[in-house]
Amino acid sequence: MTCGAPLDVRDKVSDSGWREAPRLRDMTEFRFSGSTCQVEGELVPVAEIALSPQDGVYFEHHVLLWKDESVPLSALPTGGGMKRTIGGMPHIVTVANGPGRIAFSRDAPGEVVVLPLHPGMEIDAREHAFLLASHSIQYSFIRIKGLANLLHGGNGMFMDRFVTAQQPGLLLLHGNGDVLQRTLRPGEKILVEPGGFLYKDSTVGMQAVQMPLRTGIFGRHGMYLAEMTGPGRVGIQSMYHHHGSGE
Amino acid sequence: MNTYVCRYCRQPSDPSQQTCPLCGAPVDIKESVSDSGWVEQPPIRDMAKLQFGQSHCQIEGTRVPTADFNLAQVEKIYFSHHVMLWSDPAVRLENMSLRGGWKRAMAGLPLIMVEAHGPGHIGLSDNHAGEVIALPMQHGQSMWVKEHRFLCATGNIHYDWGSTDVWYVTGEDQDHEEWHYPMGQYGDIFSATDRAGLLLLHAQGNVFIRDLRQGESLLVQPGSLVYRDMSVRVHLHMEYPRSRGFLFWRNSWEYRNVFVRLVGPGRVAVQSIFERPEDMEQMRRHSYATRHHWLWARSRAVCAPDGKRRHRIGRANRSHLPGGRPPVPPDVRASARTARSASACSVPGRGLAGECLGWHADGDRWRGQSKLRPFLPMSLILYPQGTPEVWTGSRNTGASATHGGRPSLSRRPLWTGRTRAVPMPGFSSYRSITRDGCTGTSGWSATGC
Repeated sequence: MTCGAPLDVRDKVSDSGWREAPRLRDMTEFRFSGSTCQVEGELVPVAEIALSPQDGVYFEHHVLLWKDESVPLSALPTGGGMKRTIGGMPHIVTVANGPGRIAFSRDAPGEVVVLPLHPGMEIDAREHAFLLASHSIQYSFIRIKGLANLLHGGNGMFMDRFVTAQQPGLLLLHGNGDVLQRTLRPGEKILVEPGGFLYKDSTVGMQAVQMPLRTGIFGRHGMYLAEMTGPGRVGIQSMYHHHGSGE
Repeated sequence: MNTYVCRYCRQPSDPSQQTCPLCGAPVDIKESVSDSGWVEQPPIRDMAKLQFGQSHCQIEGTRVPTADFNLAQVEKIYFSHHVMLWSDPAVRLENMSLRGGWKRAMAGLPLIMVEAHGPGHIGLSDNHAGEVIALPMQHGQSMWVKEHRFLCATGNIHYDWGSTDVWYVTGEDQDHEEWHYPMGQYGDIFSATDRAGLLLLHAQGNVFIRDLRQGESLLVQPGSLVYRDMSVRVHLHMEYPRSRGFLFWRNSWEYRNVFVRLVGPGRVAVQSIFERPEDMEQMRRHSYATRHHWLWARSRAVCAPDGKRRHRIGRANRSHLPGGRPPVPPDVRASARTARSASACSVPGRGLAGECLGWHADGDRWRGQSKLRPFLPMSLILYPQGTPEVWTGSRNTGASATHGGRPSLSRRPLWTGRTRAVPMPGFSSYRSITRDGCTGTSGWSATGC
């Protein structure tokens, strides 16, 4: 009802504790606030939103696939314009308000991860992974701290942060390849390829750690992994480098 | 146990399981074989487990599958460091040095492999939409694998690498010559020298395997090869499409197609996504190769049912066309049912291209007229049914073609997409391939439009 996950399939959890994000069936429909979202396609899914008059969603402008003519667009002030430019993040986040229909997709095979956020939740997402969020979710971005994290973390300089205050909201991410999620206990650690990180609860710590390995010619390069420390959820994607169309 | 031999890994397996415990191939499915003899490698099911030694590996996901290893205390695996997705902190990682570091660096191969020692969990995944192929190797067995297809292997499999010996040199003179390695400069060789082990590969798109008989040969795009038995021989093969007029002089290099010829006996596997063939310049020298020049025949324009000029075919054949209107083709069916990429379209009882030709020029009457072949539009493979060689006439369409048989098409470079057949009234079946999944459509016509 709220995330579109099929109810008649068994939970897919690997022996090591990774749970697959529920594979949304083609044309799955679910509601948020007064609007509905329908996920179409399975290779590169499209999220089609039927916005009610009082609802709105925001997104990076290049993920918009199509929209009704009547849907007005506006800009969401993000602040830190120069920082975002330097960090390679979009300068302007676009807002679409209802009523009307609008659809979004990113250009890589993968899956849409639906994260219904309850009041008081904070989610950090890898930059350029977020597809859209409902207007009730506050959007900000945080700088990734630590020089090692910046230089070797593989996640850029900033992460998107989504916070719900009083109202619940809906956050949609696009994961490349398959998406797996694991819930870490307090103090539990897992090492993740930095490019594979997709999202985490804000309670999960992330630190780049160097492995005792040398790579590259003459062993010039160290190998760094992101050490995630619980408690909280960690989501990873199995295709961790975004490819273009290959043309 | 031992009463069922898995048709994919060829090892004694357990028929009571849903998937083969050695290679993960589904047990309860029917073998999917195209008319031309390619066997579609079924994707390993989500969460299927593979057993090796005291450890096991679980395959998670279907788009870009992850191999999740649960390593026992005494077990180890090795892999290239860039395929590691996650690891338990308890897993011990060590460098595994390789010989010939400079050569490997120059060839773009990973310089250092990483060994992961149990106990603990570790997850590995490649970076392209495709399939994980599990090859359980028996004692004494060896396998040649194209570079960058390797995902990981158990510690008891010996790794070596060697030159592919498939190359050519282009350039205007000696000072500007450029070396090309269509299959890569080096290939990986894996051998189970001491005892059995497990080799995991990652292929892009769908995978098709085939057993070549003694002396049977096959032409494939160099970039599409995934693995082959060591008994299969490989060499370069060049085909020069016919052309005439002022383009004739360019025919010696610009319009050639470079393939590799695989000669049996042994098993080969190809993938449906492969690299773009390099631009052609004049070839100065090359490794051992066979060539084929297609000669031009008299031709006339033929009108397609919509009245537009479509093809030019031999004059002798024009009389066979019933009023210039070709017969309606039978339904085209796609033999590749999985969605990641489009490949191997075939028509029951005939090859795709043979059917296209037959439809245009009444294929049955083309038999025995091997000197007369149609002018070939770009992006299409056409050939008369029953001809001893296969014509591949594309510069922008990948082609894997069988000797004396049925060619198949695979759009390159298919990032991911679907194939669908859309009937067009009175003309032909139109297969369109959507690039980038659900968005955008580009297509080629089975009739060469």
